[in-house]
Amino acid sequence: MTALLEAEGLGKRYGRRVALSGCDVSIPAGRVAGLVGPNGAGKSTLIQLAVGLLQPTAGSIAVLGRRPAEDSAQLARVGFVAQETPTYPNLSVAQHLTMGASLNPGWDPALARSRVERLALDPRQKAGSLSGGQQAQLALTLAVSKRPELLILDEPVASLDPLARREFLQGLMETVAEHNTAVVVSSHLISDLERVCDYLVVLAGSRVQLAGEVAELLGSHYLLSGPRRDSSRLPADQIVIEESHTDRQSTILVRSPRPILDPAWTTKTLSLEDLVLAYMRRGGAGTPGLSHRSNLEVVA
Amino acid sequence: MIRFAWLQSRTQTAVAGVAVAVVTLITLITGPHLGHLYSTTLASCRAHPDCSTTINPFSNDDYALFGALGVLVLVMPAIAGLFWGAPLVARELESGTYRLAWTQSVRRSRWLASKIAVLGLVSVAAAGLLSLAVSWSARSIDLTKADRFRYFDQRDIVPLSYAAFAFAVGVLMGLLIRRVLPALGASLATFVAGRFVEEEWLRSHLAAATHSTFALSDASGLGFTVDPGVGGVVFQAGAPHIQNSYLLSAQEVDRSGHVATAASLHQFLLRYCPSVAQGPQGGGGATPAGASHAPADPSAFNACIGRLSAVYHESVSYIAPGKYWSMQWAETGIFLVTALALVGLALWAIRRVPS
Amino acid sequence: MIEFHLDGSSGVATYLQLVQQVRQAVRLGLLRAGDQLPTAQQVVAALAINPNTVLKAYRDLERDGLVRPRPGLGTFVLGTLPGSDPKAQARFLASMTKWLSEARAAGLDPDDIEAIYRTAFRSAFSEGSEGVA
Repeated sequence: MTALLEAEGLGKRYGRRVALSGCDVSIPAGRVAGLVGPNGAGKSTLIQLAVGLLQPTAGSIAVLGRRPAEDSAQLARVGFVAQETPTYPNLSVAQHLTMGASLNPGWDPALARSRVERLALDPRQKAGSLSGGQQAQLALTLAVSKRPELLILDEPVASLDPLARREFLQGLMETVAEHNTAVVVSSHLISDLERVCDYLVVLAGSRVQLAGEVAELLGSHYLLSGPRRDSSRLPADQIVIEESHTDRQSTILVRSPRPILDPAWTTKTLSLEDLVLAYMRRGGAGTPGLSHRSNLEVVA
Repeated sequence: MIRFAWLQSRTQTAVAGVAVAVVTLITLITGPHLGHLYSTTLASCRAHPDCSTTINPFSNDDYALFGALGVLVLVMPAIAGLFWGAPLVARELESGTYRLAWTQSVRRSRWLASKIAVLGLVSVAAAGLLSLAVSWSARSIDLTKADRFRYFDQRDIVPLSYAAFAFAVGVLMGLLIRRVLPALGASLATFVAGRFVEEEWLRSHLAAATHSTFALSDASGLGFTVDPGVGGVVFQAGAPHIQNSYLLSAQEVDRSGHVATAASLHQFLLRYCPSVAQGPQGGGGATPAGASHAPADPSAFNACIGRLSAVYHESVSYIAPGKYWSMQWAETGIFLVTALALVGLALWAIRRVPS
Repeated sequence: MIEFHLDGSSGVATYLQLVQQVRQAVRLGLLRAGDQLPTAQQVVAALAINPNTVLKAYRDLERDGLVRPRPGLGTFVLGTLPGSDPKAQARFLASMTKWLSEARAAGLDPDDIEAIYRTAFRSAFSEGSEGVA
């Protein structure tokens, strides 16, 4: 099956500022994929490259097997909700639906209407006077009602209160369940992604630090703690992600294909949040050369 | 897409409709009446040499209305074009709604083309209707004045092309500058520059000029002034009033066709009209430079004019009244083609913005 | 119909929590043979989780013989857990309740009671003593 998103050596620079570089990622079909990373890591850049709002300056990117925004058929396959969920403040909810119908051959008016009803939105209310959560739901309705194969969302819940956030995610997951839509969603809130994602990409320092199925990632990372020991003495297939030592104790985060059996270590699995944080720290520190090497270690 | 473009343009269309309706109403009410007033006033002025003492039915207010309507045609299409063109793309870029608009199922170029088509049509149609209304209402005054080219850019079809040009400039600037207010400023500057270039440099070449010579006595104004560059009195003749024509140049030339320089005119006056050349006090210098003065002795003045006329006459080049419409079409064509080129550029550039 | 809830801080995978809650409900008699489990859509609308998680949980339950999917109709509970006797459960529930009231009367607070329970549970189910259903 065609990958949802396939990037090879993808890069984006503005003059001397590098927003994204050396991005290699392949998100398999049928997933709800999360894109996580600190602010400025390049999540928004990657997403805008994926929907054709930006052009790459290096490498290539394919979404559902084709170049983003290549033609109107490709545009119709991908629904997008941008950061801060922009809507036209002077147009009413109903007029936004008119826009959707007018600009999308695949528009499903019954779906749009039923969503608006269920959300208890007043069709005549101007979008500018809706609450943040309602605007986000309107933007999601517009993206969902064109019946796309893939939904891409750029930090859709970043500025919403917890209730609005939960309701948005409920609506999103309902769409996935109903229509089998795949999703790529970016966020810096790992707890939200943990609920809904089965595939994860960690971006930090404008590079991909980690990518894989969530269950596999959680099952292959271990936090080892025990008496002080040099990490280079660990077996070769245990890759050190992060380590810290006191004069008596060592704590090492490793990635290993097999369970750790060494009795000297106390072994624990990590929460997704702690795992992601460790990789984000990896991306933040060190020279670009170092990160690049670490990137190779992870992929290997 | 077209449906949504109309939805987004509903405010501008309403404003245009109201403006056109109001102006049309004004011109319908005042037009014929103004024309009648103007011609009776002119007739009474011809009968009585001193116009200002008679009570004129065509008052200053009426003249102001006539002038204002003309200025309206000059200014409104340009303002509308700029104010509707500049935010077309710039507002979407500035407010971030382009991220919603460009990720529907319509490609950017088609999206832009639809918006340009709808709003461009509205601004050109509004300009056309305005011009129609005002040109119609002013036709009798224009006829009486017999100075058609004076209101060239406020009448007939050129205002449509100015509106199209202003709109196209606005759209392109909005796309390149990406913020509404700076784009408005840049569009205004570009529009004014474009109109200036056309009016000052290109318009005179739009039709073949006619060359004629006239006797000095046909000149619209004769006088003597002090030319500081020459250090003395020289002769000046205003261009003759040729009805409904576009004056290009008027010069004094001698019998062999050489243009009379200020120095040669001064020499001529010193030799043949010494009393005039010396100024009213009989000495030079007391009169400020450039001042025109009627000499104290009218017979010396007329004698001097006679001697000048024997040697000099006026060579005038102008564009004949018959060329008025071909010039209208030519200027309209220039601005329309430019507008289309700018639109084409915008449609090409939108694929690359933001980079 | 059963209503699921998630404990985000328990460290237990979401799909496992769903499986455990279904088993618990069957064990307690809250779910009986023929009852329909909520659809993936319903669970997802309530909890905002990935529908694949629900489907995975239901597949696990089907593999264990607890539920059966009927295409187009839903997923239905097959019967009680094998090997659990409702009468025995009722008997032990009664003696547990009695024990708890005695412990409370003796002045033990809930943390004490829980610690006693866990210690006993661990030693009963540790490596040496297997053979419990």
